[in-house]
Amino acid sequence: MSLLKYTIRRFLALIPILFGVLLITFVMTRALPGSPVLSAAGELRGESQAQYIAKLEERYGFNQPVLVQFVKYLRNLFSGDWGESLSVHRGATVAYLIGKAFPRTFEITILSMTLATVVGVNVGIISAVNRNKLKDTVIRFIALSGVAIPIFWLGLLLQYIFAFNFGWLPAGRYFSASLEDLEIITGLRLLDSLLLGKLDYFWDTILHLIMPVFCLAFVFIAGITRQTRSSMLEVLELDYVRTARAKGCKERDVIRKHAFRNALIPTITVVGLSFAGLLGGAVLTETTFTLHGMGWLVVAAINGVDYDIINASVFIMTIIFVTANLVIDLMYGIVDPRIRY
Amino acid sequence: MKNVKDMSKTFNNLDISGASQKMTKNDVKPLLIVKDLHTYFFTQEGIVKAVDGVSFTINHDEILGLVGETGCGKSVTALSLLKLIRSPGEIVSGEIFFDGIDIVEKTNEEMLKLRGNIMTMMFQDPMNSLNPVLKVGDQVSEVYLLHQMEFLKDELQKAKEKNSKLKENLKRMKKELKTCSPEGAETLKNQINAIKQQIKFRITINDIARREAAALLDRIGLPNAETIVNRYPHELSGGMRQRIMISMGLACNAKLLICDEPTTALDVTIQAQILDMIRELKRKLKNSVLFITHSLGVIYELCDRVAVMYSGNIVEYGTVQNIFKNPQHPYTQGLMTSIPRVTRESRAQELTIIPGMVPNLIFPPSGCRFHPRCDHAMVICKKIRPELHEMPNKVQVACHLFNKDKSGEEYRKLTEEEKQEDVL
Repeated sequence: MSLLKYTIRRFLALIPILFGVLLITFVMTRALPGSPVLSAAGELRGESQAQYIAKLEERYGFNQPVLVQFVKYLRNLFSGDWGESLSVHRGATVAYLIGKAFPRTFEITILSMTLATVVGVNVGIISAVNRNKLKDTVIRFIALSGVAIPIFWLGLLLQYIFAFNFGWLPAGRYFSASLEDLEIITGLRLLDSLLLGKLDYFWDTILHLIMPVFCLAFVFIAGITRQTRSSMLEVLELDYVRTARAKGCKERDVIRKHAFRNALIPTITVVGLSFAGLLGGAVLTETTFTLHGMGWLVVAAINGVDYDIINASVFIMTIIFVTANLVIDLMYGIVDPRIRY
Repeated sequence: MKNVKDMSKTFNNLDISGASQKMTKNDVKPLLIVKDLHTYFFTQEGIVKAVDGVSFTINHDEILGLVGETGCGKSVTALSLLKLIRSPGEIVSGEIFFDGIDIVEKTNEEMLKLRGNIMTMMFQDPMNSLNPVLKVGDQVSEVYLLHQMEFLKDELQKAKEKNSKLKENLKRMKKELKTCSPEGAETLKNQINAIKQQIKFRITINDIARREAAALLDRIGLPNAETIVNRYPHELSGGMRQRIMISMGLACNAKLLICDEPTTALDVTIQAQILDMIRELKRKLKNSVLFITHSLGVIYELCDRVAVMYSGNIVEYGTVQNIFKNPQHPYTQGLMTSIPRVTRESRAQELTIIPGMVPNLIFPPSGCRFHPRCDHAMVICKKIRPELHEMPNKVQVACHLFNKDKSGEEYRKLTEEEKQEDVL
């Protein structure tokens, strides 16, 4: 019961956070030099430009005081109207753009984080158990390179090798141009194509996702491996692990049953925060592979000073981040009985 | 790494020479024989000679105390007995015979069957020796699951039979219920409900192990054992945790219980309870105990014989009465006089201490490792490591002071400067 109370309390704490974040982004975007109206009227000159700007400002209410705009914006936001794009995709509603971009990011995130967690945790354990042996050295070398290699460079390298040289995989985008006409059910292309039973679409999307997912996963595998290894090494030296050995536990059980759960907490933190960060969009990867996900959308919006998209994206990222933190905290409680709420 | 040259012949002077070869049932052999054990740690700084030629025996139904300062190799000796020395440590040479089993030659897989089964070890600091994320019941029942599978399977069979009998009874009673008179129906319904509560939907081997664990905790004197098995270690007091540690050691009626400072982290009243418990259990189970501590008081209370360790060697070894009545090795004497005594005369006196520090085990002092701190140190002490010699009162002492012929330059007393020469 206290767990439920705790969860509710944490969600209530989300309200002031969201308000603060929205206020800050709203004011800061307005304070930026340039405006979406200016960029929209960029081709016009002289008198006609001034008229056009005045017309647009009147229409979007930019001529009103910032606070009035903010209150209006909040009212619209919570009534479901997230505004419309001014420069990225003029005329489209923000809800539509995000609704299209977010599932892509979500799909890539789920795939790459699942891969990264499964591989990272297991490899980290193997590395810790074989401490300072050849296996460990090789793993540590690869993990270190994973942390050190810039993700866009790895992406370019993969594209060069597998798309340009061998031509095995498509170099970028989410799907082949000829297969664009998939009905949208959830927005997750892999899931949708399976639900509709269109395996050629499914296979096409898989081919397109292999490189970006691997690219993202590689970086996170490295982080998770290093974290798991170090916390595992710490736990393996503790007294209760020795107790387990003195009981006659097999080494495999010592690791799986006694050490692993205790070593899990730092790994949960890393995985959870990476997950939340990725859902906000992997800017570099999405740019390298021209995947129009959240990262791409936000960068495009910032470049075009597209107020409503920036605000709405920050709004979503905040919710994701706070929720991820809550989930992480709840997971601690599941893994470690000493943590209670 | 078996070719270590420094194989001191300490064990030749013990009464165990040749005892390990072949055993027949009628011989009253010691339960455990340790001969000239060397356990080294190969670290980057150098070879740490944590245990360097230790020999002792433990008889059946006996408590041997192992006493010494922190870092003298007590715990490493104990861990060597279970072959729990982890890399970079290694048993370099020596023999360990436990109940006729050659421990040193055993592979790790073979040791798994011995550990926690016929030799068990309980550690100091019960706060950290129990796994914080597992219920204590599961930690205790694990020992049953590891070593008592046959017994558990039998019990499981019995429990299943009992369960099916109950089910049959239930069916029969339900039939009766339809035909019986209204007066009898009431009592019959009550009976049916009582049976329903006893019937379990499914019984697994884990349930049986947990039941045994609860029974064990109950036997060991923990109140509300049924609820305690479902608690986590952090929900229990230090004394309770130590009892749970002890119960893990007793789950399989081990022949040898190794206690590594079991009372160190506990307050005095709980210490006394735990010591009483160990004594009581030993009396009941007739097993042997190796009791490691740095408290001479506990040794005196509990043990039959005692081995005093200093820097990886045993320096004095004999019955508790003899050693406490008449300590002969200068180190033991130092230990004895450094016990605070509350008497009218002692109040004015300062507490005696042994000067100096525990030696560095990578570059231990030459000869007798105690000589830099010894009041009686002689030239020979710096050159030759003394071996254990039996004294008239049956106590074995490793000290050159008791050599018969003590004339000549070899037996000149060392000056302070000479003593400190090779101390790092």
